[in-house]
Amino acid sequence: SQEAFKQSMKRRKVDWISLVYSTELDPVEVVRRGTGRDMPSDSDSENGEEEEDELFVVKKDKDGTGVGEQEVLDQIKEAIDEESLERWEDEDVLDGIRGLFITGGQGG
Amino acid sequence: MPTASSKASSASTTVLVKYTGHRYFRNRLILSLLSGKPVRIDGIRSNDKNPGLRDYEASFLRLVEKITNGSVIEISYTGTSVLLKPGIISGGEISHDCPLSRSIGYFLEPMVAIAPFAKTKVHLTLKGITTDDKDLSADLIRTVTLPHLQLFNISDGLELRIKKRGAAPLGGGEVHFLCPVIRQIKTLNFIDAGKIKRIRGISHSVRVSPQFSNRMIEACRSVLNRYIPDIYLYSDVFKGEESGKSPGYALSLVAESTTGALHCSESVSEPGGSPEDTALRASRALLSEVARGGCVDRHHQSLVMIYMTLGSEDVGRCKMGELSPTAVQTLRDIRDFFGTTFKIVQDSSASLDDTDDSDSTVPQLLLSCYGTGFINVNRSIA
Repeated sequence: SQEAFKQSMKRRKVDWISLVYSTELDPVEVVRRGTGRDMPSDSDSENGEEEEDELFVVKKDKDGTGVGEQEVLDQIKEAIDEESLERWEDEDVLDGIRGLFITGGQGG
Repeated sequence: MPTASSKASSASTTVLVKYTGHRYFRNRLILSLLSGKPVRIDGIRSNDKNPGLRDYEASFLRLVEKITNGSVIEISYTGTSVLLKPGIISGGEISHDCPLSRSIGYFLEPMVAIAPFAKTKVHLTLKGITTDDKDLSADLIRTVTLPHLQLFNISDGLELRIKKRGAAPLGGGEVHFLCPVIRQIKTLNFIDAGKIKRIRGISHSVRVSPQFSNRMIEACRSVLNRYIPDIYLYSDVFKGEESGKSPGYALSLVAESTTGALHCSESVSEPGGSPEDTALRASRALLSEVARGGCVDRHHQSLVMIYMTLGSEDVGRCKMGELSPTAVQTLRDIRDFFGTTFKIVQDSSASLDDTDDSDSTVPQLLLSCYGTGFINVNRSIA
């Protein structure tokens, strides 16, 4: 399935320019679509204002978090995602990026 | 969402740029200072239980006031809207006490972006927390952010001195940031990411056993030694007055490529955690960062984009890995303030040759833009 995924990635040429400039998607969503990857805990990210036809609705904050929830801070450094780091426990994954180092050579 | 409402109020009709929401606060203020366009930010946490500006944001506004001359800042009664009419960036000797809610990095990151365009040399003294888990630490700003400025020919007299360290929560650290003024910045042309040739790191500890620092170095080497031998990790132990008010330790790492691309990561001590955990987290985060590729570190994409926009009237190019959400928003905000749009092309040739994990599919993006030919008219002729 990874092969298939790769293939689909190659076929799909992402138009970043229109994603960034012509849509009003949240930046997190832009990155998600741009990379074609599912970001964790992002499945329910909504784009745009929704119709509120109920008389009372739980007010959602502009960035999708509810009132009183942990707000999204203005920060450049991102919280380290411990789960995504677990893959570095695998020897194959560790060897996978050898090519990025001068000592790596072509064969890895 | 704040992004959706950032109506570009197209430069021709009105110069006031309007935003809604508290996010990207600092970026928008500095873009306003650089472009000279006033900015109005409404709806700052208007639905929050505790609405309005936070203390660190108010503190940042005070810092903006100190570094500029003639700026007008209006804050509404509720603190939910801010209007900034930018003055000139005057620079000079400035001292600022940062609140303990955010570290020095929060204040220094945006100051680095505007300091070269001041009227006189900036000598900024910041007091507070030097390393925390939210913002870039003083170490990373010194070892990674400042070298990014050198890409744009800002180098002589550029310095960050860490006088005292201060860990969260009580801080007590002090840094001095010195930045020269320049007339115009160079156009960037950085498209070869190269290969990683060395790794440097600073392992520091304050008010804990100095041994912790060595334990972090050892754990870090256990992960990174497999790749290259050129790893130098400096153990920096501050004692006495210089070590601030709270105990803590942290590891910051920088990987440098053959073409000078820098990738960085860091990890800070956690209550109950061990130095080994901290070091492993930093080391693996560095690998993730390296695997993303690009010529510019993810944390510095926004800074580089802003500088590219300010470049001379020529096409600047830079290859980046996957954009961070903040960088995406920066692209949009740059358009609002400067009318500059970037061309973003997915670089298909850059498939990282022999890697076969999922990271090889991470797109490499070639960003290019036509510089605005920004000239620092404030600069006093010396």
